[in-house]
Parts: sequence; structure tokens; C-alpha cells
Amino acid sequence: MKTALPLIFALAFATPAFAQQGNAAAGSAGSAAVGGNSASSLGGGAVSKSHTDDAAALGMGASAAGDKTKTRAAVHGNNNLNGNAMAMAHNGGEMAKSHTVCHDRSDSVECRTKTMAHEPGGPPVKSTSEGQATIPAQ
Amino acid sequence: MTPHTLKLSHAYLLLACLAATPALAQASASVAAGALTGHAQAGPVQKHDRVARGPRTDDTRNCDTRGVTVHSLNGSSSASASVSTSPGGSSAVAGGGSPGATTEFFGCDDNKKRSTR
Repeated sequence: MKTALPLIFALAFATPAFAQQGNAAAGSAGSAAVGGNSASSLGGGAVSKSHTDDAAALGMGASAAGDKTKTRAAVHGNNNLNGNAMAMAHNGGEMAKSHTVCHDRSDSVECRTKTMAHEPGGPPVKSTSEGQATIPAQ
Repeated sequence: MTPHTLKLSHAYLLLACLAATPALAQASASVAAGALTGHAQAGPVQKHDRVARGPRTDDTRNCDTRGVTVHSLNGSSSASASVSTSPGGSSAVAGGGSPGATTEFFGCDDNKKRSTR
């Protein structure tokens, strides 16, 4: 028991350091097209964590082509980053849309892209893609 | 110090070293959609060997293509996105990082300017 108790303390101190170090990167992208309209968006993020430094980076992009287009991209936050990228193109009833959202958290990256294409008289065609990565516990 | 306590202290030292060892594995992700590409990387990199690169276009009048690259202060995380669109279309990029990160934009200097037809 005399030897086991200090060993348990040592393991207890060592365990958090194991769980908090590593790297993770993930991204997602998507495109939608209907008629002469197309919209694409993507995002990619990375987080790195060591016993001395934490770092994160996030990049987002969107593009659209067609009659009427709209694009927007933004990244907010300092330590926990949130990114948005949206692209939309439409003419009359035809519309293509893509939207990507990314979150850089302290130990994980998560990106999700949703796309939608719609033409009059038909149901919207939707898809979702996801990328997710977590710093592995060691 | 008895041989028994010597062995035990060695065991603690080994545990402490393992706990302090930084993870060296890199993680990266690349995504693409049509003419859009994105890349993100996390892990130890040399300052002069940054991996994420935007479309290095210095033509700020060209609004068909634009990109963004983000490097964290210590160089261990980077992300980039590049987009292009056909003439008349529109595009946007954005980047951000932890405090001290460098964000570089390439291509079109006007975020609201449409591509030339």
C-alpha cells in the first residue's frame, strides 16, 4: 500500500497531460448546381495543443455563378473559432445553395456543409457532408 | 536511498517524461468542391515550411480567384481556402486563428466586387 499510493498520485498527475496534447484537422465542402446556377462552399480548420502552446486556424470560402449570386464568408472568435461560408445562385425559381459551418474548439474541429438545389415543380435535392476530428486521448 | 526507493523514483521519472512529451503526430485535412480547395494542418512545422498556401496571385484586380491563408503564431496550425468562379460570379473567403495568428488574403482586393464579365 505504501508504494501503491504514490504511484496512484503520479498517474493522476500524468493523465491530464496525456489527454491534452495533439493535433486535429478537418474540413468539409459541397456544391450544388441546377440549370445555369451553381454554388459551392468549404471550410477547413486545425487545432494544435501542447503542454506549452495552443493554436488554431480556420479558413472558409464560397463561390457562386449564375444569374443572381450571393456569397459570404466570415470567421469569428479568438480561442474557439466559428466560421461560416455561404453561396447562393438563383434565377427565377431555380436555386442552388451551399452553406458550410466550422467550429474550432480547444480539442476538436468540426465542419458541416449543407447543399440544396431546387427547380420549380420538383422537390429540393439536399445533401450534407461532415468532417470532424478530435485530438486523441493518449 | 535503498534500491527499492531508487526503482520507484525511476518509475515516477519515466511517467513524468511521458507526460511531458509533446505529441509529434501531424493532422491534416483537404477538402475540394468544384473549383474550390481548402487545406488545414495541425502539428509541428518549421517556420519556413508552412504547408497551407493560398492561391498566390498578386493580381488584386482579378476577382475570379481569391484565397486566404492563416498561420498560428507558433506555426503549429494553419488553414487555407481558395475559391474561383466563372466571370460574372461572386466569391468570398475568410480566415481567422488564435490570438497572434497571421491572416493573408490573396487575389481580389474588394470583397464585394464581382468578377469581370
